[in-house]
Amino acid sequence: MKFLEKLLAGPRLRDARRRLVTEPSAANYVALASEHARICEFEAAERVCAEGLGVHASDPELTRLRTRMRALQLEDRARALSNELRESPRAGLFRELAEVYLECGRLERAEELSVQWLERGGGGEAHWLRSRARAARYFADRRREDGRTALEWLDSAEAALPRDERPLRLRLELVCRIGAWRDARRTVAQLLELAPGDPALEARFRTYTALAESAPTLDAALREVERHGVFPEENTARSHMATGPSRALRPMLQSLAAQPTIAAVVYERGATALVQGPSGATAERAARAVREVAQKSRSAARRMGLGNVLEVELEGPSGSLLVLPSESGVAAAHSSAAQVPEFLRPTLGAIARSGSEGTGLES
Amino acid sequence: MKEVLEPLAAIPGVRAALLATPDGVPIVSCGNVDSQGGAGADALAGLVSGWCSSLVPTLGAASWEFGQRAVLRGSRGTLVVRCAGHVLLFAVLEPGASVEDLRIPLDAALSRLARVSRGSRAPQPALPRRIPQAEGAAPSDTSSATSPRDSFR
Repeated sequence: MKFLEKLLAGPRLRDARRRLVTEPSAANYVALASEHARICEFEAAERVCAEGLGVHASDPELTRLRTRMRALQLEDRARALSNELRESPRAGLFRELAEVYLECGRLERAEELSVQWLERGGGGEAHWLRSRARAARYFADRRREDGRTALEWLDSAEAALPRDERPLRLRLELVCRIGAWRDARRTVAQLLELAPGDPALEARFRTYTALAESAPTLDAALREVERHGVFPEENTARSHMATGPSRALRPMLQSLAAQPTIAAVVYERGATALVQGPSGATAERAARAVREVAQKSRSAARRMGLGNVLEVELEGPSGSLLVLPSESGVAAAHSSAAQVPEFLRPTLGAIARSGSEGTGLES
Repeated sequence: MKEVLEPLAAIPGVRAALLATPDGVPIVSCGNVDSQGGAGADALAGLVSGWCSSLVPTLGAASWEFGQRAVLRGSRGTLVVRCAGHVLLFAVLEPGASVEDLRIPLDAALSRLARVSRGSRAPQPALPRRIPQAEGAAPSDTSSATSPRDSFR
C-alpha cells in the first residue's frame, strides 16, 4: 500500500519540484513539503522546509510545517521506542524516550515514564528526568503547585546525583526566573563547591548577594508569579520598553485600520492603549474588552495545560476578533468579516513584535 | 454520538475531541483527554465552558458578539471550540497542528450531531388502536402505514 502510494505520488512530487525550480516562492516550498508529508517522508519534508526558510526567513506557514514535521518524526520515534521498551525495558530506552517526550512537549507522559523508571530502580537519572518534566510544566503553566513539586523533586535528584551540576543548574534557572534571589545565591554557592573559582558563577554570586536584601521568599515569589502569570524578568523587560515614547506604532495601526473590513485595531501595554477605528467611549470599551479577553484567556490556558497564550481568535455574528498577546503587550483587531482575513495575522503579528522590540507608546 | 467524535479525534494533530453542554457537563469524549494537564474530561469541559461564558459579558460591553467559533492557541497546544445551539464541540490540538484544517471537520461533525439528535427525537409512529369487535364499526385511526385491521385480526 505504501509502495503504491509512493508510486502514485511520484508525478505529483515531480510537478512540485518543477514548479519550485521555476518559481522558488514560499507557497511552492510548502507544496513540495506537503507532498513529501503525504507519503510519510517527514524527514524530507523537514529538509524542504529548512531550505525554504533559508530563502523566505520567518514565513509562518513554512515555520509551522517544519515544527509539525519535526513533531511527527518525534512521534514516530516515540512509538518505536515505546514498543521496544515494552519488550525489553532498559535504562537507555527509558532515558531516550523521556527525552523525546520532553522535546515534543508531552510533559505529562515524560513524567509518567520517569516515575515508571523510578519504580524499576531508575535512580538518579530517573529523578533528574522527573524534575525536568515538572519544571518544564511550571515554566509553561506557572502554577505554584508545579513549581513547589519541581523544587522538591530537584532535591531528590540532587541527593541521588551528588556531584552532578545539572539539577543545581535547573534549580538556579527556576529560582532566578521567579526572582527568589536568596535561594539563587544559595544554589550558586552549591555550584561553586562543585566548580570552585568559576568566574561566571562568582559574578552571579555577587549579583545575587546584592539582590537578596529585598527579595521575596520562595513561597511568596511562586505565589506572585501564579497570580500575575508572568515572571519578574518579563515584567522588568516590559517596564523598560514602556519608557521612551516612540511614534512607530501609530502609523502601523492606522494603516491596518484603513483596510476595508477592519473595524477596530487596538494595541495595549500596561495601562496605556492605542485604539484606531472607534473613538471616545466606544474606543475605551474596545480596549477594556481586549485587555479582559487576553487576561481571561491567559488564565484559562494555564489551567487547561495549554501553556502561554500565543493567539486568541473569536468568530460570531458581529465579525471576527484576533488577539495576539505578547510579552510586552496585546495587539488586537476586530474585523467585520466572518473569518479572520488572511492579511490580518502577519500584519498584527508585526505590530505585536514591534511593540516588544522596544518601541514605546505615546501616553 | 461517539461515532461522530471518533473521526475528529483520528485527524492527525488532534489530541482529544469533546462534546459538552454550555454549562460544562461533558457528554462524550474521544482521544487522549486525560493527558490534557492531567485534568480529565470533567475538568476540561468545565474550564472550556467557563472560558467561553466569561468572554460573553466582556465582549458584550464592546457590542461584539462571538458565539460561533473560538480558538485559543498556546505554546503547548491549541483549543478549538465550536458552539452550536445547546452544545459545545471542542478539540485540543498538538502544538503546530493547523487550526484551519479542522474547520470543515468540526462543521461536519456538528451537522452529523444535529442529524443524530433529530433522528433520536423523531416522533414514533402512533400505535394503532385495537379495532372494536362490533361489526360495521370503522377503524378510527388510520395513521399507520400498515393496515391496523390486518395486524390485529
